[in-house]
Amino acid sequence: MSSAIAVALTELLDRLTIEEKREFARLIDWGEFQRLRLEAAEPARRVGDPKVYVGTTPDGLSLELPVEKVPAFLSYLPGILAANTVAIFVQDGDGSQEWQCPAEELASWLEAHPTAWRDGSLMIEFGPHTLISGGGGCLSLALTGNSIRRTIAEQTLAICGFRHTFVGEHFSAIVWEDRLEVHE
Amino acid sequence: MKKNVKSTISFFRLLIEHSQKEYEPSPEHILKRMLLPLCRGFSEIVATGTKNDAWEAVDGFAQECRKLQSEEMRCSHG
Repeated sequence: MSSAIAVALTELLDRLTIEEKREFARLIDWGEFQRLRLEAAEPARRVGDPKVYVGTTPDGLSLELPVEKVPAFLSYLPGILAANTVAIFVQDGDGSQEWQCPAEELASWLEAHPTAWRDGSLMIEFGPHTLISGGGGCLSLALTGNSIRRTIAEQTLAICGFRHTFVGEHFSAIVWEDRLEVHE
Repeated sequence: MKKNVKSTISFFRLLIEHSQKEYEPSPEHILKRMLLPLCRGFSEIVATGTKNDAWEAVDGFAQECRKLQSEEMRCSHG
C-alpha cells in the first residue's frame, strides 16, 4: 500500500511547477519525502508462492520445495549434519507424537508417514540442528553454525533440478516459472 | 524444553522469516504453513502443558522478537 502512495506522490510531483515544488518542499518532511522516492523506485515485491526458494536466515536456511522433493531433501540432511540419530516430533489436530530413530532409518520413516511432511507440523532434530516444516514443502532449518549453509543450499537446488554455486554468506535463490533468480 | 514448546517457537520464527523474503507469500501459504501449526502448538500447550511451558513459549517468542528488532536496527543503519 505504501508503495502505491509513493508512486502516486512521485507522479504528482512531476506535474508541479518549480514554484509549486518550492512551496511543497516547505510543507513536507524532506527526509520522509526522499524515503518515499526511493521506495517508489524499488521494484514491487512479487506476490505468490515460488516453485523453489532457498535463502539464508540469521539462524540457517529458509526453504520452499516442491512437496515431492521433501523426502530426498530430508534424507540428505543426516549425512551433511553428521547426525547419527534423529528425533521426530509431529503435531496434528489430534495432538502430537514423538519418534527417535537411527539416521539411516529416516527415509523409511518418511515413506511410512507421508502426511507428516505433506501437510502436518513436523520438527526433526539432527543433533543440535533443527528443521521444521508446516507441510507443502515449506521448511526452515536452524543450524548451529553457518559454514555449511552454501553446501546445503546448492544440494537443495540440485535435488530440485537446478545448479548454482553460491559465493556470498547471505543469499537467496528463487525459481519462478522454471527460471532461477539468485540474489547474493 | 519440551518439543511442542520448541516447535511452537520455531513456527513463530518461520512466520518472521516469511515476512523478510523478497516476495510476498500467498495468504493461504501463511495460514496453512505457519498460522495453523502455531495454533496447534498453542492449543497443545494450553491443553496439556504446564505454566512453565507457557512461560518458555512466551520467552522464546520474545527472544525471536529481540533478534528481529536488532536485525531491523542493523538494516536501517546501513
